[in-house]
Amino acid sequence: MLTREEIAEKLKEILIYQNPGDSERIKKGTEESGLIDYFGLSSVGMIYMIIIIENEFGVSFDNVGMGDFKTLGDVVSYIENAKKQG
Amino acid sequence: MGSFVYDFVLVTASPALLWFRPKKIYENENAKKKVRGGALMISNHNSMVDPMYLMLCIWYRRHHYVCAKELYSTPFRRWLFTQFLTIPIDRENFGMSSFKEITGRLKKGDLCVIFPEGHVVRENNGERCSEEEGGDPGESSDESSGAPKKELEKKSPMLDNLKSGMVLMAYQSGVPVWPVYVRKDKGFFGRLRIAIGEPVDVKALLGNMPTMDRIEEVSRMLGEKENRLKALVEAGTRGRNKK
Repeated sequence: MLTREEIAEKLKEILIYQNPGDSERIKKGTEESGLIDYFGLSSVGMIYMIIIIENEFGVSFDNVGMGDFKTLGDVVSYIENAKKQG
Repeated sequence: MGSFVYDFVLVTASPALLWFRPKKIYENENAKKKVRGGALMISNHNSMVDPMYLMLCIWYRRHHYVCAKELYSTPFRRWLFTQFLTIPIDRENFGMSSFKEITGRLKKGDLCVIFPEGHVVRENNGERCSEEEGGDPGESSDESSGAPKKELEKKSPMLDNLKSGMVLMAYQSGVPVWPVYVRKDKGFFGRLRIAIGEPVDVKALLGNMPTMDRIEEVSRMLGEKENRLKALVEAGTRGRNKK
C-alpha cells in the first residue's frame, strides 16, 4: 500500500511527464499546491492527468468532475480512499 | 428506441429537407472518402441548426452530438435530445464519465460530432460574435420568443482557441478527426455550403504518451485547418457571386 507521500511523488512524476518544461516548479509543489494556479493545469490537462492516473494506479474516476479537485492533496486523498475501498 | 426515432425522423423529413441540402466542397481527394467506422467530426458552430445541416451532409451515418447538459433542462427536452443520440456534458465541471461515454462510442465505431469552440459563434458578413459563455445554448436559438437577447462578444474572424479536449478524445479512442466548416449566410435561394477536410490521424501525429504542449499544438493545427476550410468555402462563394 502506497503512503500519501509516495502517491504525491508519483503524481508529480505524471505532471512532469505532461509538462516537462515545468519540472523544477512541479518538484517543489506540495499537497496544498493548486492544480490550476500552481501546477498550471487546464481542464484538458486534468483529464489527461486522470487518464494516466487510472492506468498507473488502477482506480476509476467515473463519478467525479474535474472541478472536484482543487489541490494535489485532493487527488491524493481520492486515490487513497479508492485504494482502501478496493 | 433512440435510434428508431432518429432514423424515422430522418427518413420521413428527408424529402422536405432536400431544400436545405448543403453543397459540399472538399479540401482534396482524401476528403471525398466516406466517413467509415469510428470518427470524430469537428465543426464551427454558427447556430442551433448546424447539426441538421451536418446530418444532411453526412446523411449515411448516425451522428452523436456532444452537447451542453443545459439542453436537457426539461423532461421533454431530455427525452427529445436523447432520441437524437446526443451526449450531454457539464461544461462547468466536466466529468470523466462523459469523456468515457464519448471515447467509448468512438471505439465502438460511432460517429461523434463536437463543436470545439464550445459555444455558438454567430457569423455574418465575415464578422464573428460569440454568445456569452456558460449561457443556455437552448435559449440562444430562440430568437422569435421575445426573450432578451444575449450580449454578443466580437470575436476574431478566424477560428481560434479550439478546446483541445477533442484531440484527447480522438487520441484515446484512436479514431481520425474529420474537420468540417459550415458557412451560414446563404441567402434565401442559395444553398448552404459545407467544406469537408481530409481526416487527420491524431494518434499517428502524437505518437505514444504525448506532452500537453504537443496536444495543444495539434489542437492549433486543427484550428488552422478549420480556417483553411473557411477560406475555401468563402472563395467558392465569392466565385459564385461574380458569375
